[in-house]
Amino acid sequence: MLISGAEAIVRSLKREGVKVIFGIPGGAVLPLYDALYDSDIRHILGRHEQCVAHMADGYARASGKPGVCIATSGPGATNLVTGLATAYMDSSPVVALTGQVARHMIGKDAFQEADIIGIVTPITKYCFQLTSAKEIPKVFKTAFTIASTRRPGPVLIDMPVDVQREQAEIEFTDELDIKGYDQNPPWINSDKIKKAAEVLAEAERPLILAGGGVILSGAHVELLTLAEMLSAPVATTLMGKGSISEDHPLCLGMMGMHGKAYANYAAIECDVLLAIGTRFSDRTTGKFDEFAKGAYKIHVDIDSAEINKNVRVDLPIVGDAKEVLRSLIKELKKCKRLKPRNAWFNRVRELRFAFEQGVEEQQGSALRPSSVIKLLNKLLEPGKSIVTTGVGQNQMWSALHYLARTPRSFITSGGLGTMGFGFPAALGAKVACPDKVVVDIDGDGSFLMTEQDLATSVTEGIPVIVVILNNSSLGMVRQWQHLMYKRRFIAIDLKGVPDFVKLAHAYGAEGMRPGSLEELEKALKEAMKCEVTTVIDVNISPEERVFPMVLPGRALHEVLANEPKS
Amino acid sequence: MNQKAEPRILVMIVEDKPGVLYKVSSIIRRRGINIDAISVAATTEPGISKMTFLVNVDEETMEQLVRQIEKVPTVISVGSSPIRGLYSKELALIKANVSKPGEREALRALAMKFNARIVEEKAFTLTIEIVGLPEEVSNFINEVKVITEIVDLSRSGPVALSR
Repeated sequence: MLISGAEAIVRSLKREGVKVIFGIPGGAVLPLYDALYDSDIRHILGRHEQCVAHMADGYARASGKPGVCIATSGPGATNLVTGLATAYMDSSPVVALTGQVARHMIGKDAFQEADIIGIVTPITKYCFQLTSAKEIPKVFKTAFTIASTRRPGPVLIDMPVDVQREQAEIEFTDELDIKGYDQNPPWINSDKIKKAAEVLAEAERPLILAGGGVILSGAHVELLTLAEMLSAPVATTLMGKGSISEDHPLCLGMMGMHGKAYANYAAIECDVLLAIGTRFSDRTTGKFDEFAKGAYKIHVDIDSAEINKNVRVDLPIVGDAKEVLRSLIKELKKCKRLKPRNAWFNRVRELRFAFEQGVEEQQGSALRPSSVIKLLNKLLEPGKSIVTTGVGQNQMWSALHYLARTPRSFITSGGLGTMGFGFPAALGAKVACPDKVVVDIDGDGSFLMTEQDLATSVTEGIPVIVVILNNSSLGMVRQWQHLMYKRRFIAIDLKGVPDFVKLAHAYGAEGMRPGSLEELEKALKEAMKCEVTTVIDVNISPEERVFPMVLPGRALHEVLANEPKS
Repeated sequence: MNQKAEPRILVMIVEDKPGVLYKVSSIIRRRGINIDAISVAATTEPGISKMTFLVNVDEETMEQLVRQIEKVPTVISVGSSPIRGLYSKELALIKANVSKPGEREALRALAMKFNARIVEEKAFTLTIEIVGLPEEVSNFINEVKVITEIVDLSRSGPVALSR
């Protein structure tokens, strides 16, 4: 039977189990939209293509399943770029479908033509351009496989409009159209597992660093088992937040530039470091050469290109985090009796106590970033809530104070640091998990970059809560100017514009501006029951800065635990 | 780990599809590394090509490049080696001006010394073909320049096999 390319695309999406698509139509994707008319796939109409990419990304991070977005050719496609780069840096399985001008018009600078393959090649795991309708099933199967296996990442399929219209006899197969890609996890070298188990069993002061790979691999149970077996404290990267419950006594929280000072000190004092599913970002390690300098370093990662890229390690183990941890646990069980590590445990507790002492406890009901986020810890139920963030101070305060207690419950743009990510990602996460409370902790600058999709949240019925930590400035830039540019503040004053409560109302959303912690608690409780998105504008002082902080280029032990006295 | 930059060959067996060269070269370009020579040609297997790049990098950088290129789905395998460890050859065609007396004879003698072949003789030009190690080819070209002016030159870039 003859079917159109567009129908073949919809059937291919159904075969991949796609239930929802985030998109914005345009001339070059109209055949596909016409085919979607007859399908039961839910289409969510965004208001900017950057947002539909972030929504697909948020959906993928919350659910673990690929998120799909559509944009038209030319500007529609180029608007996806920031979203794809964000997904690429954080290894998120996003499949982007872009319209393209008809095959015979490609290269003629046709209306709304952009060489999107040329543009996104460095920021996608792979990309395709359809050359005929017949190849659609194979290309889609391959695209979804590449996006979601091994180290996940975004894949783009460029679809010339005439291929969407082309009528052809189309066979649906599960065959892949790729020779140089193995979708199975790498084979694990058992000698290396033995060696790692030996080193860990003998360690006096072991430390585990858990990255986003633990969450992607679904290895959180194994991580906890291993940590408890070894009595090893666990620090996480920003992307690793939630890989271990942050109220567990072995969890130290985040390490790095704005990490917990005692987690940074643990990295300096440990004798064996087991890093799992992390690419040793400079934001995690500080100065590469100084990172965990004396420690024997074991690095577990599914991507062999991450081995020795930033930090030289003693024992690399290439493999899927869950499989490696299982093998390690099995190997360690053979050890007669694992050492109790009381001295190390006490030392870590001492470090924690020393640094927590230094942090002043908040008095009264003033709205401060830490108290706002600690209130969220109280109100949000573990396993029933998801927090997303913008980028900047709001993100680092969230990373420091929010207790992620389950995997996939903390969603943030780690690698690219994309301002404006939090709100559309929250919408995507809410679509993936409609029964969870989804809160975007954002900044005024960050939220303003994608606020137009309040329209999407209201019209598509996707209620989330936006808590704006509003300091009327580009706060993190202000903090850097304060600390490193002699307080010569320039281009950071947002002057309290717009009025976010009125803005929310203009979109048909709820808006509130609590004046105290008590009012905030009331507002949040109301928002959790509300059927539309609620924007809660929390005014904070622009003089609030994020500490601890390791200045850029410095080593972790040079951490400033508190504001330097000046 | 050898931190010294030296000419190294990167050999990739790839699927013969649009965009492979672009993806691979963008990985190299991103690190600000110049590709000194490229050759791409068919292998014995249909649909599979071999790409050979010449780059001047240290061992650590090369190791990273190899691992990142390995990840490209259309790249089937990657290998690298300092050029001195390989059996490597390059072809060059050189058209030289011989309008002045004595130039023709001098070039003939030079060609003989380098085991190069004269493939075309015209009234005012001589075309020479040389096959050899990339540095031999460079040396030959330099010596031709001492004798006369080069009108046109085509180098294939190196091809290589492991020993």
